[in-house]
Amino acid sequence: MGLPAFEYYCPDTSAELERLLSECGGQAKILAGGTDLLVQIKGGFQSPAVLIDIGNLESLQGISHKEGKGTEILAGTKIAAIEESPLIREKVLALYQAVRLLGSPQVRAMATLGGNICNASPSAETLPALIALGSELTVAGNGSERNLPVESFFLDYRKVDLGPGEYLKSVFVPEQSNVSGSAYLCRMLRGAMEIDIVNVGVWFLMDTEGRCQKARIALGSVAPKPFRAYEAEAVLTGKPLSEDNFQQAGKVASSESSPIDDIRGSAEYRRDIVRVMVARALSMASKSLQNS
Amino acid sequence: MKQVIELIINGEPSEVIVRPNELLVDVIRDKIGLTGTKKGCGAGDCGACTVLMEGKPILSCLTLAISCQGKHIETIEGLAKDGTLHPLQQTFVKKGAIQCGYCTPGMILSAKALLRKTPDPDPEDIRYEMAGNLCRCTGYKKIIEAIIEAGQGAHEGGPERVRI
Repeated sequence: MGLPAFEYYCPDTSAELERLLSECGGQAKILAGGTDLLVQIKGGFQSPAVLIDIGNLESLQGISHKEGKGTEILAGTKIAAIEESPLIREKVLALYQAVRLLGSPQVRAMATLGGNICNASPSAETLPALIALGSELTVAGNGSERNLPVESFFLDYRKVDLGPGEYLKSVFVPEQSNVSGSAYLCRMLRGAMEIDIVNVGVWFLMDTEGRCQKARIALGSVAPKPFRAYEAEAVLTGKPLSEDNFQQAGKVASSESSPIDDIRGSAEYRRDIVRVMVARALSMASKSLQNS
Repeated sequence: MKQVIELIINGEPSEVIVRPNELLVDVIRDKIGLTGTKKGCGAGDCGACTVLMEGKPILSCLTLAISCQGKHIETIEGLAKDGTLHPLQQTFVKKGAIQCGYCTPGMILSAKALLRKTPDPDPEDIRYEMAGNLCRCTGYKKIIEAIIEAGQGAHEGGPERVRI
């Protein structure tokens, strides 16, 4: 399988990237790891006239942490670098759990966090984890920057909020406190190189009485885009962190999902497994809290 | 828009002229002439095209050659030294971990990267780190045994020491 012809640029600086993006308009696609984009070009699903390779842009790679604030991951950071980072394992456990289940070692060595986000697959592993953790994205381009919550970045099936000349610059995951719990879980058949049947990210903050003060439940693979199950979150708010409440939140999350039938699982199965997975993830997050 | 790039393949610098849409796997096979790297699914699922780039296993069927300027790439041809097979190649032969052989170059390169990271892996480590390589003959058990044995050689040193 060969590739159709395209123009290729490999900028060395962010300024050059911004200039190329504004000159090429909608003709250009950013090439990060290539593990999604090149498959789509090979398959004829996309045919960009210009590819802008960000592989040389060191200014778009790296993980940093500010005590008490949170962790910043630049968009061009490889998934393998996130997986191997002791900082991510310590501070952003749910994201670590998610990247361990993304693709294969080869895919993780090539793919980037920004690529996984911008490809906007409804089943992308990192998205429920990032949404649940309350992450924020920084979009840059045309000489300015803007921030938005990660869940608002997804407009529709594989459609993201990136205007002409814009690119995803970084992801910021706020610092987790010692009274917050989080977890990522997914349902897959093999354990690698899969399009998940369901994936779930959960997070909650406990108040001084041991009740749930705030919760976020994010679901992937069961709607055209990853989304927050707001009604299920409301079930938990103000209530004790108990198995009964986790089960109830699972039921409500199931009714908020709108899965399709496909080769990996029926809609009926997915709705049922959402119920199970949400309750299980909440229970896992609650245990992580007790052990910390 | 052809461009001259330099690839350092198995320690040897090579200059090749590439178009932007040429894939690394095709350049390695057709322009450098090293056909040990195999083409399988072409979509990153099977791992037959795995090579090591700067020591990490990557899919050469989803990598643009033009993006590899100056990179160190290791293919299966780089493993045997002075007519002696690499310990992983030896244990793959010894354990019968090779059936049709098509997945073997990719398997061995992924295994080499794994042993660099985890010198004495258990079967669970191996299943995780080798998940991107498929064997259509389904000879996984012997492949796991061969990797364990090569890893143990690395610990004991001597002639079977894995050169990583």
